[in-house]
Amino acid sequence: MDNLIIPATDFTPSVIFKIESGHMELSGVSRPEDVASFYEGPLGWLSKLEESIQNTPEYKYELPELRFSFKMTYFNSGSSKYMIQILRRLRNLTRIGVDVNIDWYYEEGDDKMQDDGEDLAEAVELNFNYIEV
Amino acid sequence: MNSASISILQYKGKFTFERIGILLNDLKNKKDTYQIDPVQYKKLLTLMIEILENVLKYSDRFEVFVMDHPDYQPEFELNLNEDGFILTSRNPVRDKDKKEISRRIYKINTSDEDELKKIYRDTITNGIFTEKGGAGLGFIEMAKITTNTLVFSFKPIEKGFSYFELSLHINHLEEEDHG
Repeated sequence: MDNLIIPATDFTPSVIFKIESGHMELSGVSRPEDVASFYEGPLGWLSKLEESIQNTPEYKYELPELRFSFKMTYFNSGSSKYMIQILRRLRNLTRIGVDVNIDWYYEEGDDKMQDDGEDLAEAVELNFNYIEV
Repeated sequence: MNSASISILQYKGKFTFERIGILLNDLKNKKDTYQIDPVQYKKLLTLMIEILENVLKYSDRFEVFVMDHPDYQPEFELNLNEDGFILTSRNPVRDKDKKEISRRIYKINTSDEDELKKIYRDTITNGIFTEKGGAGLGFIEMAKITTNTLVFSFKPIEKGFSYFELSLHINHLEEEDHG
């Protein structure tokens, strides 16, 4: 699989999905003008990874542990539903035996970002590591 | 708006993605003038995005209508008074949508913090989203931030249409909130 790298803009987050190192990151601001179109790429990439493992089960043994870092400073309510879809795809990966760790970063004093992480974690029944920066 | 209010931002006209960016930038430029605390600024920014995007989401449906009724163009204002900040939006809605808007806001306004979290999680997990968002997630986000009730009303315009007004209040920070 190819890596997926999308640079940040004023309205969209940076996306770094590096399969060979297992480093995956979504960071910055998310309030895209066309939210569905923006998240098509990251969601498609995760679906493709899941399909690759389902089609070739031994592929998962070649994969490193995946570490997904959410380093969001802001995301609007329209982006929330895509966050949940990303998390659902990560949950699917764990269910087919892929090691996935999720780190949820929030700035010191940003209680809302911490709460948002807890709400999303509970909604998808995944454990997050919470990291205050 | 009472006499002790100060107008920080005011806009009436066509709402676009670019216009939202301009208004957010206007707030950024005024935060020092009004000595807005960073915690309050982030809350204001988040609420502004949600309230403005809520207007934008449906504004293209009313483009023709507001051309014939220019007094009822979408509108946004941010005011400051002795209690805190007040963000207000006004925009035309169809009368057939009033009941659903009222139901969603009433449900949010009558929920405590834990119930609000549950509504958020249920909505994000099971909500029926349209291409433009929907499912009422924006109203829930607003309530999570303001911690005050969402104040709303409908003013009849003509048969089938009303002017929806939504006001969000953020109280001034208590001493302990300053950290």
